[in-house]
Amino acid sequence: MILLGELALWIALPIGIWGAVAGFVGGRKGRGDLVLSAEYSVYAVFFLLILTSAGIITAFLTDQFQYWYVANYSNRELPTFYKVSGLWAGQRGSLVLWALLLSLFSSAAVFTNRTKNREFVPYMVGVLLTVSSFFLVVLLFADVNPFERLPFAPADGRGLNPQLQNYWMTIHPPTLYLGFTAFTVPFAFAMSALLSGKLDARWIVITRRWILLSWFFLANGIIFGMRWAYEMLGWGGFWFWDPVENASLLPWLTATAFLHSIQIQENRGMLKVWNMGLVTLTFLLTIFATFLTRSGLIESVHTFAENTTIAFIFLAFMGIMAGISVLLIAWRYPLMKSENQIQSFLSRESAFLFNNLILLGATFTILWGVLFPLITEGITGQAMTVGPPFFERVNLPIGLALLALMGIGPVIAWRKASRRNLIKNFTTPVAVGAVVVAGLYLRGVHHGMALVTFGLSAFVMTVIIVEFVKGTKARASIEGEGHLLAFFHLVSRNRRRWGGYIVHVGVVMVFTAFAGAAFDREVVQTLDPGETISIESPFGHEYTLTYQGLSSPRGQNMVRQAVALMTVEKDGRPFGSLTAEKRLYRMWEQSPLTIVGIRQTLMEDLYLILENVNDLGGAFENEAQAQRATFEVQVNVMVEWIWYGGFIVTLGSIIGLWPSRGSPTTTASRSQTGGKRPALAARS
Amino acid sequence: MGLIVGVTLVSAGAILFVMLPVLRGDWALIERSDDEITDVDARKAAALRGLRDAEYDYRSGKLDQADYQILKSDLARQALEAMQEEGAAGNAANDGAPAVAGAKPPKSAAPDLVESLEAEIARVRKGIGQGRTCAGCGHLNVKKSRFCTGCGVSLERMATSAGNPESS
Amino acid sequence: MRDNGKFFVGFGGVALVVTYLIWTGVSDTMLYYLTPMELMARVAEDPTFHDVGVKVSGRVEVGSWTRAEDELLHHFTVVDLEDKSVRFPVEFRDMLPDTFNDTDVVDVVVEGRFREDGVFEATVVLAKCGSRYEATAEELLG
Repeated sequence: MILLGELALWIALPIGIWGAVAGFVGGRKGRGDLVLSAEYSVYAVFFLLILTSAGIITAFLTDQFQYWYVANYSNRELPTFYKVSGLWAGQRGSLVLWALLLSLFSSAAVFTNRTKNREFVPYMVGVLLTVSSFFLVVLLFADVNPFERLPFAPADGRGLNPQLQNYWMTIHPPTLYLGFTAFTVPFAFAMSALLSGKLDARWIVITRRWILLSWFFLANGIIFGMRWAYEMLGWGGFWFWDPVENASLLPWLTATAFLHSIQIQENRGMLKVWNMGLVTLTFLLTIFATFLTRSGLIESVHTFAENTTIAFIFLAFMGIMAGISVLLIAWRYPLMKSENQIQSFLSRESAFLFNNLILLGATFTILWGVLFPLITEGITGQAMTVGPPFFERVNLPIGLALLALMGIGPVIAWRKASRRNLIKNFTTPVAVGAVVVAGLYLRGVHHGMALVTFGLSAFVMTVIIVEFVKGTKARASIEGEGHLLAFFHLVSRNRRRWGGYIVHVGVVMVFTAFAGAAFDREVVQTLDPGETISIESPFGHEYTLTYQGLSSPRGQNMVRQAVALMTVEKDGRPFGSLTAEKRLYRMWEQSPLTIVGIRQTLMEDLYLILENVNDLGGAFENEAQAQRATFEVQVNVMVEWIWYGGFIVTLGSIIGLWPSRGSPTTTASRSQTGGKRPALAARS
Repeated sequence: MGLIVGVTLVSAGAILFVMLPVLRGDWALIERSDDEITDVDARKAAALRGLRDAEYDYRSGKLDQADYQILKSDLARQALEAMQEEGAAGNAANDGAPAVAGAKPPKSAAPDLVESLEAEIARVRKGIGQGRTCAGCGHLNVKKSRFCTGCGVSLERMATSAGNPESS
Repeated sequence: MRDNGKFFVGFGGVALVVTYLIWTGVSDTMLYYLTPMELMARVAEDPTFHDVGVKVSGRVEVGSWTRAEDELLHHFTVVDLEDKSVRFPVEFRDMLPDTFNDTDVVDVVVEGRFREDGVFEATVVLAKCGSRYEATAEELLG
């Protein structure tokens, strides 16, 4: 099986290349047989990559330590869970995962378009297989073959880094990769539109769901990463502006911009060149994200080991794709003239344009910050860096502007909004925002930026709620329905718009949580059993934690734990207990892992960190005098709003993604094909 | 031994599968199907969507009456243009499907274009309300039709959920 | 072309604001990114460099880590990767990352300032287990 998996990789490459060529030639020459062959190639590559992945996973599950990759990321004792996810534990396997997911989405793109949008398919398949072939080339020729063997098999592997031994490991990377790879499909459609010259309204309509799907996975992947950091890193933070974190944010930002600007193209036939640029940029940023993680070009705690071969190959690929895209856009420029103009500064088009500009501003800023060391070293010879203070400082006004726009967008009409109407419609939301600010100020919140954020959040929430109410009423009166039915139909008849508003609600919640972080508190103290540590929350609650003691459970082979138990009182009343640990994994004894204890409520999290045990060795032996330890207790404000906000973003995205019956792109009857592949006229 | 057999089977199978179309002369369809969305469809859908949004905007107080009227006639004209193009294409191709998108294009210059446009839009709206306008292709069907003569979708199914032009 | 005009005005406005934000952000927060050797050279030639924020990457000296009893205070020594004789002590008053230790080969990046008394006062410490992420064949078989 394993050898089969390895050879499948070698077979996949020629097939991928053949399919790419067949797709392009078939499209150019109108050769339906070549195109069909290309489509079959997509499926074949997917099948072969499944074999490859299965081969790697089998190697893990059967402890085949003669494979370098398995020996590095697994050992005999490793729970099965992590042996399976070993596929993406390291650089090489994660490239296979990327290729696998890319081929999965390519197959889905071919399959869902087997009887429609046929004129776009040949070049789309060509582009998809080109990208797939690139990853196959990297896997086979850039010294990152996951099937590389050692001269002889070690008795046991080194095991998985304890920091990766948690369930987030199985969720976060694959979700992000799903987002990255899914975006290759809209890019392929866009290139197909350029190559074929079919630059009318269709390619946007066709790819809209793919864009949303990719965006959905990226958003979730980013939030999962934040959750992982918050739960596992043990610092109480969830975002550190690390280059790899930033790299995953960049395509998400441009995809968000794209989701808005395509509406302008759909409705008004404008921004055609802009959208082509955006889809290309987003795709390039997905490749850039993986490039940054692998090349070691920028120092990060996330990066795999530095590998200059890969760095150059990825750079070359990005350069070539960028160059070709620019050339294609320039060539087809005459076909992409705007059909209309922006009629008024006060219009939704204008608001969406601002949204785009601001999001791109954020993208550029973050990119600048990430690349700053390289830029400064290149120009002045001295590398300079910027860190969280820079990113926070610059992105704060940008975030506030975006927040404001989320409140303005729904209220402002397409084409031309009347000033009088705007004022009328903004009165209530602005009033609510002002009341919230005033109320908070009187309650003692004097932090300027936080106040502005909370006020804007209230403003946006009011706008959205009023939108739902007005929309329901309007529908009820037009269609003569009851309000409940009207609401349901309102949303289901226009899933994109109302799903979008729900997504905005989620985003507002996340931004509000960010503002809340300004009020976090922390206390550090060294305790013996019986002693207490207290902390007061920004909401006036008093938490008292009494240290009960340190114990080390017996029995586990691979892991030793020193568990500290605290009983908690909130405002004098019992509030349960919290545990925090130091864990020692066999073969990683030099780096004990810190496991935090978190007690979450809606407005604040109580966060307990076992920072240090004076005599850790003694603690593992359950020695009574080895219980003196240093603790850090934090109160983190409104962190749950991030997770709930993420959930609501997911809900809104699913509503937006949900196929609606009878939409122009899902015409029901396919009488001539009956659902099967239309094998038309045989070649004479 | 088993490995060599397995590998040979997989490689041969994959290559054969991929080359089959070329060897057998099977051709994939690479032209647009007649009942697929066209650029005209997309523009028509956008215009109808815009009409619906404009009505909601007007009713929820975002648009003045004056602006709404202007917008409405502009969008109605766009929708009608798209329907006309479709009708012309349908008539020209005459591929067996009945005249598409049920607009009776005012072939001769109507005396009052705005009025006829308004009437047309009213009919379309009424058709939507009565479940006669197909939400999928926009075809205005004869009363009491069970299936859309434009695209074949069941109208009853659409009617039970009070069809409105989809914007997905 | 009114469309283009408005677009460019908006674009220009946002571009200006973003440029301003980046400019001030960078100049207020940027740090020198140095190796210990470079740090020593800079300090030798410019005594005011003690007040400048810097980020230094090096390696933790084996056995150099001490922790104050009952106080969140760590001391360790950072060594240059190329010239082992170049080193400086670091003082850090926050939680160290779990990847930090002084037994394995641990690469660190410390951020802070290099005080006049020759001790680096760190505000941020990032640690990466240099050789531990991907072992060589020798290490695996040995």
